[in-house]
Amino acid sequence: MLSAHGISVQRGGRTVLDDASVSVNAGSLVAVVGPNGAGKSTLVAALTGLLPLAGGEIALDGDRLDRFPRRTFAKRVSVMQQRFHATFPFKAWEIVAMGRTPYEGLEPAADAALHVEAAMKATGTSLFAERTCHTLSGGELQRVYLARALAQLMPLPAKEARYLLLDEPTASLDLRHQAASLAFARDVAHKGVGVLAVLHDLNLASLFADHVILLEAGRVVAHGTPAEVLTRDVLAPVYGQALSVFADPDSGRPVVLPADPAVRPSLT
Amino acid sequence: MTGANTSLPDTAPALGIYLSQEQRRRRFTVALAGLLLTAAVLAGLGFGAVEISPLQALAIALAKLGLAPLAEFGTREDLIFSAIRAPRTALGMLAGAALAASGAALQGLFRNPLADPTLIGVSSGAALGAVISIVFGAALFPFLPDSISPVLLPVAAFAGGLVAIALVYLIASRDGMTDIATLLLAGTAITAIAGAGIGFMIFLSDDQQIRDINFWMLGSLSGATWSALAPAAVLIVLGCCGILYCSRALDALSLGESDAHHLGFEPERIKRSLIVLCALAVGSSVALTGVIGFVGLMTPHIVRLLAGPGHRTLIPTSILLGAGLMLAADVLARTIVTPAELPIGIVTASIGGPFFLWLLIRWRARGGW
Repeated sequence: MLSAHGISVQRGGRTVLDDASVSVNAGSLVAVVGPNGAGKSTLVAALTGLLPLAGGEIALDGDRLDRFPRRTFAKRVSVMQQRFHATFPFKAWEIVAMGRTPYEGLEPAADAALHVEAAMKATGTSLFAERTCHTLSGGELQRVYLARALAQLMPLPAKEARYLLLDEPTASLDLRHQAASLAFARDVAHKGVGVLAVLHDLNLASLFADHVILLEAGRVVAHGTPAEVLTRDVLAPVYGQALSVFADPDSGRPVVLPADPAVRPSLT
Repeated sequence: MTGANTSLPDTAPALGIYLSQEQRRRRFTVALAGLLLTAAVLAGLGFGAVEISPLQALAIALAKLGLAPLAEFGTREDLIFSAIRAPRTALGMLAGAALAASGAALQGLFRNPLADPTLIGVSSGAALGAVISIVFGAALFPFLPDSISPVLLPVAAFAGGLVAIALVYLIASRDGMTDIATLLLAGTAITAIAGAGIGFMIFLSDDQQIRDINFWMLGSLSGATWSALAPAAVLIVLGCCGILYCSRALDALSLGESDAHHLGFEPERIKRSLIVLCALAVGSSVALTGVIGFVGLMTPHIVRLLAGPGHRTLIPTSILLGAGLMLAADVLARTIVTPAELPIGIVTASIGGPFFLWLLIRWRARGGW
C-alpha cells in the first residue's frame, strides 16, 4: 500500500494540501477527482517525495518514504506527469528506455530491451518508436510517457508491490484513447499494480475506478466507491455547479452531467 | 492499447534493430571524432616554423620515455617539440575537452540549447580576475619573485571564475532548490557586471597592459608550459570524468527535474555537482587560455546532429571533438599569418559563428531543435 497520512503541503505560503490522507492498494485503480486547483497534481508529486511536507508522512508498504534510497523507490513507484519538457530530439523508444534507468547495471541490456519493447507494445507506441518526440502529437507523446512509466515497473506481476501514478492520463487524448488509456490502467492494476490516476472526467472515474477520492481546496472531502462519491449531493457543492446524475444503463455506474439551468431550472 | 476492441495494428520492427543501429551510429561518431583528434594532434605537433613529421614526433616522444629512437631528429626539433609544441597541444586538447564537455553538460542541465560556459558567468568572472591581475598584479605584489609572478594570472582567473559561479549559485538557490531560470539570468547579470569591471580596468591601464588584456581576452594557447599545465590538467580531467559519470542523469534531467526525480535521481545533488564540475573544468581552462568562445556552444550541437541527444554518446564524443576542434583552430591561428599568430578566439568565432548560423537555418527548416 502506498499511503499518505494527514499530509500538508505549502507552496509560496499557500496551503495546497491540508491534512490529506489517501491510500492506494496494490491491484486497485484509484481515481483522484476535484475542481481545478484542488491539489490533485500536488498530491501526486507529494506521494513520490518530490515536495517537502509541512506535516504528515508518506509510507510505502509500511515503511516511511525517507527510508528509501531514491533509486529503490523509483523501482517501486513510477509517475506519468501532465507536462512534458523534452528540449532535445530524443526518439520515442529512447524516452521509454529511460524507464529502465533505476535498473542500470543490475540487468543485462537485452532484458532491458525486452521490457521496453513490451511496454511499447502494451501502449501501442511501437509504431512510432523511431520518431523523435518533437514530431509526435500531444496524445502520442502522452502514450510514450505512459510506456516509460510502465517500463519502469516491469516485469509484471512483481514480487514486491508496484505503484503507477498517472497525472491526467487522458488530458490530450480523443474519446477512444481515453477509454483505451483507462482500460489499460485497469489491466495494469489487475496485474497487481496499485494505480492512482488524477482525472478531470468524472464519468471516466466512474466507469473504471475501484475507488474515488474527491479533493476540494487541498482536503479530502469524500472517498469511496464511485457509487458512494459520485452523487449529486456530494459533487454539486464541491464543483459549485448544478448537476444531473443518473445510472449508466450498460454498467449501472453513475453518470454525471452538468445541468443546464435553461433546460431544468429546478436543479439550481 | 491492450483489450480486444482497442488494439492497434502493431507491425513495427523489434526494438533490437533500433538498438543495434544506434550502437553502430555511436561507434561511428566516436571513431570519427577520435580520428579528427588524432589528425589535429599530429598537425598541432608538426606544423609551424620548424616542421616536425608525425614519425619524428613519435620518435621524440618515445625517446623521452627512454625507448630506442624510431627516426632521426635533431636537437632543434627535440627542443621545439618538448618545450613548445607538446605542451601547447596538450593545453589545446585539455581546454577544448573542458569547454565542450561543460557546454554539453550545461545544455542538458538547463534544457537550453544556447547554454554554454560563458552563460553562467564562469568565463567572465575568470576574465575579470585575469584583467585585475594584469593591471594591478605588479603593484599589489611587488615582493613576489619572478618565478611566481607568471602563475599569478591563472590563479587570479581561476579565483574569479569560482567567485562568479558561487555568487550566481547562491543567488539562484533557496531552501535547497536551484531555480534554473534565475541561475541563467543571474549568470547574465554577473557577466554584465564583470564586463563593466573589465572596462574600468582597461580605462585604468597603460598601453602595454591594454595589449596584454586584449591578447588574453581573445584567447591563446601560446602560454603553455608544463608547470602551469599540470594542476589544470588534474582539474580538467577530474571535471570531465565527473561529467561523464553524470551522463545517465543528464538524459533524465533533460526531460525535466521532476522526471529525473521520478526516475530515481536526486536532481538537486546532480545540479550542484555538475555546476561545480563545470566551474572547475572551465575555470582552469580559461585561466590558461583566456576566453575562447564557440567551442563549448558548438561542439555538442555538431555531435547531436551526428549521434542524437543521448548524453552517453554526447559527452564522450564532445570531449574528443572539442579537443580536436580546438587544436585545429590553433593550427590555423598560428599558420595563416606566419610568422605572427592570430588570437585563437578570432579563429573559433569567425569559423564557429557562420557555422552555427548555418546549423540554425538548417534546424529551422527541419522544424525546430
